[in-house]
Amino acid sequence: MSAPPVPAIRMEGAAKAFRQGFWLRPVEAVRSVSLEVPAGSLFGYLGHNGAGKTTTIKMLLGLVAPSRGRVAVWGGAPGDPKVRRRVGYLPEQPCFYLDLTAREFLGFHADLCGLTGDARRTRIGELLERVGLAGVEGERLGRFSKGMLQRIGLAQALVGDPDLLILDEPMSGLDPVGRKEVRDLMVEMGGRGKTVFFSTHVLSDAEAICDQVAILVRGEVRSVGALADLLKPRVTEVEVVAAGLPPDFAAGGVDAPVLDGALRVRVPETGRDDLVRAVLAAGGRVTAVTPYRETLENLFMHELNAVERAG
Amino acid sequence: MRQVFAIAQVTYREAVRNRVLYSLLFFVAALLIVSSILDRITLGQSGKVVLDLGLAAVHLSGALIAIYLGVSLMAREIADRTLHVVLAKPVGRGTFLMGKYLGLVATLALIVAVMGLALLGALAAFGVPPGLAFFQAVGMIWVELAVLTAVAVFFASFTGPFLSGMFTLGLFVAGHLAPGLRALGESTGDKVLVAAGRVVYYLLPNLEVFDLKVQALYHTPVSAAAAGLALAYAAGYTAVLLGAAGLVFARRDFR
Repeated sequence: MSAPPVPAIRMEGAAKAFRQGFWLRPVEAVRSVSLEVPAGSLFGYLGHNGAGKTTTIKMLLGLVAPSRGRVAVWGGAPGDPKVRRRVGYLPEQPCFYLDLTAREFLGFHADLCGLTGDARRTRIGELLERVGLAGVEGERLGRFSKGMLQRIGLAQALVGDPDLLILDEPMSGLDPVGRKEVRDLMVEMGGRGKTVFFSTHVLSDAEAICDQVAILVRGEVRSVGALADLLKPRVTEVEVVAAGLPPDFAAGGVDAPVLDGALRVRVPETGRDDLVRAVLAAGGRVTAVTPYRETLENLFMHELNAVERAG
Repeated sequence: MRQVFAIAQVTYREAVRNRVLYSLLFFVAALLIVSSILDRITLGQSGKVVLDLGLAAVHLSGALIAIYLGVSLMAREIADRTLHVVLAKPVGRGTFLMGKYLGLVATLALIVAVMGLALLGALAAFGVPPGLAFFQAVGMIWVELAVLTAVAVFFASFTGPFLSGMFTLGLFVAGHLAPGLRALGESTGDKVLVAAGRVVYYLLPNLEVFDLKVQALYHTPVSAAAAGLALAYAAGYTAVLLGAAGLVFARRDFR
């Protein structure tokens, strides 16, 4: 029997408290994160601003040590340089050495990843081409726009051909074209069997490309799993559209006006059959029954509200 | 080793493009001009004042630049989070610290060389032959700055730029007073004060061993053995400081 594949990331009850103020009181940035990111998945780490996404990512990179719990990347400690050889990282607001040119900057990161000779030269050329900066490789980064900095940031994250790409709010501050390019790049990486873990507070981005997500609310992961599994059980409503109804139509507790014999109403899925029968009994006809899946936004708001209600 | 060299190279490039550096070099130029004016009004000591004040200017300016660069470049790495991207690569924290330190020391070599050449020009203008002792004095200033940079990097590894700047400046002053403090303790004859003087002497970097300004002034070069001993002392002290900085740095959270 073969051993189960090693997940790209495994976190078990990971928490981080920073000491702040004169009395160095601990302030919890992350309260409890338990999740597993399978190799090859496109994983969205969702949370509102200040939820603890960046601190979680810093734990994954070994930049901060967890106060509690366990964090493993490719089965090893994130602080181990051998583990980081398989990881590429793009920070939220890329801050780089602005006096370096794009080529010098990528050369520096290629050196850090141990690339030499022709492999180094070829890789830098490929990446400049891949992120659309081939014509401006001699420009200093200080002259780059935010979008260009994001591109060179992505290039440095990819320079060591990592198996796991960790991106912190990669689409933040980009225009629609830039956002699409980054999304396409993530999908392409996924298609090449790479694992992509990215944080975002833009739910539509995650919904568009992720196969797995985790929802972080106030430092705690509330939901985690495949997007299809998280949203599927929550198909709880249907929209029924009917025509040819009498003006006084009222059935099954439906509280919607009938205008010119037409009715458009959203009801719980359990009440669908009763409503359809009532429409037919009243001499009307059903023109559409559309099931409503819960969106990621609904799920996110549901988890957020649950935490807020709990105090 | 390639990683250390890459980090050192980026540090060097960043440092030499720092504008504050040029203002401090301007300060040296101003001091050289002042010393040449003083030289003109000093009877019978032609060139000596230029040499004396010039070496002091190189020493003091170099120390201020070393403290500024050592503290600010480390602080900026952390504040600007450029360090995060580097440490996310397969780079050990000790490697980063060593690369940063070597880049700073290389920058200081350039700065001391430029200031030394300027002083050499001023001496030539006054017809003062520099001699071996002059080159030894300038070289030892650089060695002292390398030790001072290790002090700055050590403090910057666990505290903010203001405090680490103050601590390093304090140690620079105290390091030059170390032999005097020991002698002061011994002169009292009090056992406690003698012991305290010795503790301070051995704990602080004894920066006086690198001060060869008087030797340069009287053209009395130190022996190779004495210079070697000073170099060994600098290497040992620097190794201890960087080792301690590495231990602190390895445990530090980068938020």
